[in-house]
Amino acid sequence: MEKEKFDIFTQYVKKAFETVSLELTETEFNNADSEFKISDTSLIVIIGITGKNKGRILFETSLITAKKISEIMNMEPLENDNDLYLYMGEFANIVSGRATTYINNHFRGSEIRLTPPAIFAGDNLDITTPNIQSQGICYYNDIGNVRINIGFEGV
Amino acid sequence: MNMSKAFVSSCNEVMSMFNLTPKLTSESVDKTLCSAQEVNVLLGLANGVNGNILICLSKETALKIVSSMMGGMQVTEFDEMTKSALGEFTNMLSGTCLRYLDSGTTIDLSPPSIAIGDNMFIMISRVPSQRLEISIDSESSINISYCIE
Repeated sequence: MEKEKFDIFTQYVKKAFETVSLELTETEFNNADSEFKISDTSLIVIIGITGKNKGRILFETSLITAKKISEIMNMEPLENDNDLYLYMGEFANIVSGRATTYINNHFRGSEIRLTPPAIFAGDNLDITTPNIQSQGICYYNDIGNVRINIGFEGV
Repeated sequence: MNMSKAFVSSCNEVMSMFNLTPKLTSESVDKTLCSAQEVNVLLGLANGVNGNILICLSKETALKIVSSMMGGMQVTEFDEMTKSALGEFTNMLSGTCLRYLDSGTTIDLSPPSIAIGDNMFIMISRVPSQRLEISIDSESSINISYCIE
């Protein structure tokens, strides 16, 4: 993927996250100047990217923040653990879907496609996607911190 | 060919290149949310088919497979090179599976992501996924879970 396209995609992910998080949580997340570690116990959503450019988008929050976001989306306490995973997967899916629509409209014929979200939760999580170049973005507000990492092959 | 059979054929083809002898030992249905193993490799499917593939194994089994890929040279560290080789291995398994599947449509694979951690739980689909346990010798096995939306 060309560097310019990668940078534009990253900007679209930021725009999509800021819009969607405001719509779903009714609070603004602030963009941090540098990347920071989220928590020892975290929840990570991975959405694969296929088509002309291959990569993945990763969303990470602490388990506590994930629960807060999910309960705001659910408008009441969650009934079980499954719901936490489903809500966070859906949140990441909406953000990624919107960013993909922006980029596919910007670069006609771009044909970037998304795979369904996979959700991981646990202690000391470490995710490695070999052979990609990635860019991290961090957000914070009263609800908690969110880290987004966007990676593509061949940047 | 269905996906389970395609994976078994793929394991036979790919693993035999590295002198491993795979054997399907069990097939089951996983709950949507399940506990993970030490090493978990995720590959997404898009375009003709949407879904996820998750390949789970112990670090010891991962090192055994990567050592076989290196022509028998013992690999003892689970480092970046090992992860890269493991990613390539899972890419080969999944890509060959899709060739056997012969679905008549183009199916794209996303790059493999390798997840390690403690007390890990994973959800790869909103619906239960199919799980295959493939032994590679008397002591080691890998689990392949897949879901198609």
